[in-house]
Amino acid sequence: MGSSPSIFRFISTIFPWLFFFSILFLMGSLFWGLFLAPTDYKQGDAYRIIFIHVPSAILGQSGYIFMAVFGFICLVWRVKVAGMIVRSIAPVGASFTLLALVSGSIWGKPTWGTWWVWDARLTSTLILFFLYIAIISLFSVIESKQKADRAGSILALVGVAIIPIIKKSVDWWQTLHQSSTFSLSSSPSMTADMYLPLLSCVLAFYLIFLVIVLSRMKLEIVQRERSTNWVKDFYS
Amino acid sequence: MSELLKTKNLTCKRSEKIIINNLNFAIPQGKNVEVIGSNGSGKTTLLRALLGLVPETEGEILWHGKNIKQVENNFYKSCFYQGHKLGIKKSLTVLENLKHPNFPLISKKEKLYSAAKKVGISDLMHRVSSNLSVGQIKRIALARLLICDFDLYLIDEPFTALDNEGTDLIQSIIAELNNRGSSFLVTGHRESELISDKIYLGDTDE
Amino acid sequence: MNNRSNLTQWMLLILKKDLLLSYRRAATYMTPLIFFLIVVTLFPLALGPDKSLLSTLSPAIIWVTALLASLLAVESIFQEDYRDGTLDYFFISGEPIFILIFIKVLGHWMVTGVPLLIAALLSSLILFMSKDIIISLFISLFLGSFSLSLLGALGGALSLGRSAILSAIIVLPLSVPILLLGSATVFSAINYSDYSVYLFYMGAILSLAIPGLSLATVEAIKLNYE
Repeated sequence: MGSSPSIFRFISTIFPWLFFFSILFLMGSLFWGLFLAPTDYKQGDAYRIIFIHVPSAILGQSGYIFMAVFGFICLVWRVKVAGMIVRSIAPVGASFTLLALVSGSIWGKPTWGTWWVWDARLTSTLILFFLYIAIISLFSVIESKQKADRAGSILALVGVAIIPIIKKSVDWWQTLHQSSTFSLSSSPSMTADMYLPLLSCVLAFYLIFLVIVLSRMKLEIVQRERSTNWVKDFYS
Repeated sequence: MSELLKTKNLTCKRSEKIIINNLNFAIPQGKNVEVIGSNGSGKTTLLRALLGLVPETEGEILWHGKNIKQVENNFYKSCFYQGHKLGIKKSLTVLENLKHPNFPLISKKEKLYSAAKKVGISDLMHRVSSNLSVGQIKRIALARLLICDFDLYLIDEPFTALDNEGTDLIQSIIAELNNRGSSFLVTGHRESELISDKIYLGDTDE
Repeated sequence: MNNRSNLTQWMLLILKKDLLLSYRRAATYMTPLIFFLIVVTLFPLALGPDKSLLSTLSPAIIWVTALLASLLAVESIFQEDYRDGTLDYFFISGEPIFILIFIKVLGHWMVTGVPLLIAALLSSLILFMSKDIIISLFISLFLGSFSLSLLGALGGALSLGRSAILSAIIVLPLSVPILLLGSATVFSAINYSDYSVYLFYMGAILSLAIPGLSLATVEAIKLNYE
């Protein structure tokens, strides 16, 4: 795999292009979803929050899986850049998970009348958020960056093995305590003119995720190698 | 004379900083090597590098002429290592500390007593270790050397925190084990009276 | 002239030494027990002495308390051995280290798990839990506490030399399945429905946790040796 300077240069080269493309794509997708897509016959315009809620939930989960994949690479092949990627993803994934939780609860208020429901999916998302927080606090506590990268990678790998078990057990938990009458699981049936803008929003969120992670990586590389000559040359 | 352990261009780094640079030395069977250097000169790092506990290690370490990675198990099982931290449990008695060392030492109970007698702690056997002085704790660690025979003893700073009597004791123990064919690699701040090859680490080395 | 130590001798040494040490220090097994009883006492104080309310909540109270007690108990498992150098020797044992680490956790669980079960029994009395479901509580705690010990050991290894609260933050979200399955077992027992499926799943989790978490814990400890 490439060394830090070459990766840094690569990111620097593609970054402006990627940045503007992603912003345009996101604005287009959101405009399509929030204004052009048809109104839902049952929920009215309130349903439009799915164009934010669903992509951020997907990104929250994919972010964790990405972390585990790069964590594996970091641990097994000792690739330092993979460790930096894990560190860069953690807060971004946590933010998207938080966005999913907040948008979900905003969506819940008009639709089901409460801000929070102990629904299986919301509960697993909340636990996912806590898993991110665990990794982020590990990163912030361990002083040596490379050590912290590997500690976070270990936790990400263990977490990704446990997430399916968490999901399954939360499902059981819900069937066991059937006191709650609400469920977010019955999502409205969607037609293609709602589905396509959603797909486009998901793609846009992936791009934005990539942009933020890459910019954090750039920062990470510069911070770690600030005393080297190539960094000094680059900024002089 | 066969060489027990030999290094070829051993280089150790920590966070990309070179601590030990291109070190070549050999420990012949039944002989001693003493590593001398000030604090922070890499004495402990050298011992730990030989044991494979330092990840950024380059060069070759040979055990009986073979690369140590290929005969790792054989090497570990014939080595007695004692670091700075002695691994003496404060809430156990002296006897229990001898019975439960840091790694299995297979022997009979009489052997434990005779080892304790040799280092002069035999009347402390049932005392709890937290009530002992530093020198007495150090003697428990010394007694452990005598429980079983090993080919190579790697001891980090055996002479610190010991009085003259203790220093003489170590030298006689080393001499005794040398006679049985064991070798020693010890570290220290200054040269001891030990009959050994000397390796100087740190600023004086350059 | 070599006295070659083997894996069995290593395992026996670790187990014997750790059991002896815990025997010498009553705090090892008494602290989780006392912590457990104090926390359980707090619930009636906060909720009021209503018998039926406490009886309904008792499985949840006991399981949450057991979770906290067993994680707190195991959190400092490697601290002393790391400080006094004992842990160094694991890495030059020439034996599979994850087995040695597993034995260490096993020894710890033997010392803390039994007091935990006693504390749970006493708690079930003061919380008016019905006697029919105590068996289900016991089996679920038995299986669950070992998984929690393994998980707590990973947290302790990752936060070695740092605050206990960090270890709790790391481990608590991961322990959710065990809490859910454990309390599900007891709630099913209350409803007289079959709870064996939950126990099977707890057993399955445990058998995955033994190799998986032991290996992860070894990796986490290694970080402190670089």
